[in-house]
Amino acid sequence: MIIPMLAFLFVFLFYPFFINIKNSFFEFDNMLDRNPSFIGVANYITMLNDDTFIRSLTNTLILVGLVLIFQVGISLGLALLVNSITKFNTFFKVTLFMPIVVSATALGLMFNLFYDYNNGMFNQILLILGQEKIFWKDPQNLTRLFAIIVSPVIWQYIGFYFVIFLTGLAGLSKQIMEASEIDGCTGFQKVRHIQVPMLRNITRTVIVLAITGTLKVFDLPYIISPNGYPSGKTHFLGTYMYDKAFNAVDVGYAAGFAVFMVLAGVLMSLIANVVFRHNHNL
Amino acid sequence: MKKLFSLFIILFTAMLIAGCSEGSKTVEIKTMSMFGGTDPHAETYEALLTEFEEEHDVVISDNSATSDEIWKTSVLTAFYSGVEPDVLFYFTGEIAKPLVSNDYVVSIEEIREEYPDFASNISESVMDPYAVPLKGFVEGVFVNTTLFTGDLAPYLEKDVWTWEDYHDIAEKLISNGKIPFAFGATDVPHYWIEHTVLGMLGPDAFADIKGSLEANEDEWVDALTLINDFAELGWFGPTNGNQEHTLAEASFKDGSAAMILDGSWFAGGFDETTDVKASDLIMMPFPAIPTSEGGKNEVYMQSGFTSGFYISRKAWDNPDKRDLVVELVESMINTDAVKEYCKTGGIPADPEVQLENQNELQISMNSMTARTVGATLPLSDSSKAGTFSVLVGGANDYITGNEEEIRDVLEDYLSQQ
Repeated sequence: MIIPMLAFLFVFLFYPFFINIKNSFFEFDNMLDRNPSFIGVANYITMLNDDTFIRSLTNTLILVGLVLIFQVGISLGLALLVNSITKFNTFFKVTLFMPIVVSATALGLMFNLFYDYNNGMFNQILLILGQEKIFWKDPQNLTRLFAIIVSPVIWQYIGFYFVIFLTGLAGLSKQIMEASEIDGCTGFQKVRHIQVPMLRNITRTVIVLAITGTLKVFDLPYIISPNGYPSGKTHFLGTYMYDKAFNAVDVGYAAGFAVFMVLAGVLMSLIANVVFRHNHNL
Repeated sequence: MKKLFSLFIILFTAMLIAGCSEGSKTVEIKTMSMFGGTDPHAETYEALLTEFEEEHDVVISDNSATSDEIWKTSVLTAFYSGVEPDVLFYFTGEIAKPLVSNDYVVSIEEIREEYPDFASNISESVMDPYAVPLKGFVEGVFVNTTLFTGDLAPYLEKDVWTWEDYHDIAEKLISNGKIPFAFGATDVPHYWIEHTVLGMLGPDAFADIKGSLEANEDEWVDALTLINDFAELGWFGPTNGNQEHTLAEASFKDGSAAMILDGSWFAGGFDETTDVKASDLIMMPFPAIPTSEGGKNEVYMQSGFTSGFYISRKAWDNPDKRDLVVELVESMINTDAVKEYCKTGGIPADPEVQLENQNELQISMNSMTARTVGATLPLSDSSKAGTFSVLVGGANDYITGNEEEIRDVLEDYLSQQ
């Protein structure tokens, strides 16, 4: 069982990754260039001097921060709330998990329609409320533009982490919870001193998943703000790598990008693991 | 028991494979095209494939999709990884260079050495050395004539609108509460970039991009800054063109925008049942940019035959397939087929094709050549592969008229030519 899985991983993950590392040291004339020129670490040096790369890295790191605060935070809050109720439990689970089932591309197109200046849902609501229409995707207002790109990204995966937290909560010892109630623990005290600390290992897993998932975010931002519009200012690492690989046909540079993304993912996951060290007593 | 079961499975699979390989002589032909999904040519293409399949002892595995950057790349990687199609409908020019330079496709000359009549119905003047074209395209301004009422109606009598005409028309449309031009700069600023540069510098600039940019960078900047002038005049509506192309198209299709700059393929989205009827549309050339604005004062257009059918080297070298793939391409490009494809618009590559029952839009698209002084392939096709995306990336700078940024974009573009 393990050998076929290892073979699969080797063929579809390790081998392409090593080829990718090799490609990052070459310059390709075109996508099918069989004789690319060896240029050493020039792609990596270009990357560090590329303003759009720095911008896409910054945007991605900001998104990681927002995801950790809002996506993980909200999903934990929702899990604690749903765990504390007995009625409509399944309804909330299904409803909150729903966005995961929808493809990110479809969600992106849907949000594009919501943000449309002329007939978009958000502006129609504003008009009903007697307000002026807003040009949601105004490139002159970069903060708002960034916010409307990342909001669906954060929203979509709340349900995923919510389910993980909920499963973690269901696995907590009932004796401890009952004992805390007998000792007169209030709901908030129970959350703060028992449930959240005991979810430490689950939280660590969720954080690692959230970080690695965010580093490779692509589809929603790409649909909502193609080409990192305006002037690459809303690029993320994933979208800029795609732009370099498929629009600019700069295969070597894009390969370097991919290597950087993997290394960044590993590094950030390690940091998360150190900060949220596994507690074997839980 | 488990061993016996495993043995049975292995034997059964082996028999199945042996049975398939010995019992069937049917040849499989793999095809790939951009006539997939919602493409207006998909129906014609699929019908022709089915017809060919019924008339020959072949199985056709078609892997068509609508064209986008991913599809374009997937075609190239299919060749690179040895799973290329036998017959391919793909772009010509810079993007197809990897196919040609790696000898992945067969030249028309080589095919004709063995099949002298191959594609003989197609005009030689539009034939690519490696691909057989079906039809050509023209680019221009699609006009919704139903919005040209009152003092705008006389403009419909003219063959060509001048620079001043366009300004007057736009002003009147704005006062009528309409958006003069639907523009989606976020993802498709291509047409505006190309037409302003073409009007300002002429087709020679496209033929020698590097030389033109080195000698006339200021003119290039002026050309792209025109987009800012138009935006400031309100030509692109409240979003100033900062929207996706699909939304821009939607605003033209629902009648809130009066004009859109696009290619003849855009006509495929209209017929007599759509909100804006095909018979209510015409195409006008992009205006000549007067010398007072730094332009050439001549009306040019972008047009050409930039796609066609290729035969892969692998299929050509396969004696079981050679005749079949040649015949398949012939069935796709014969006069009847070209006529069928041209029903959605475009210039037939076969001069024998007589288009019947053409609506106003098709007539005006076909008359574009007569209304312009010169034509050229689009700048995106003339640019080195992958470099036009640099100009696309600067779209917002053209809208805002940020000269410093525009120069940076142009220098970046120049460095990659």
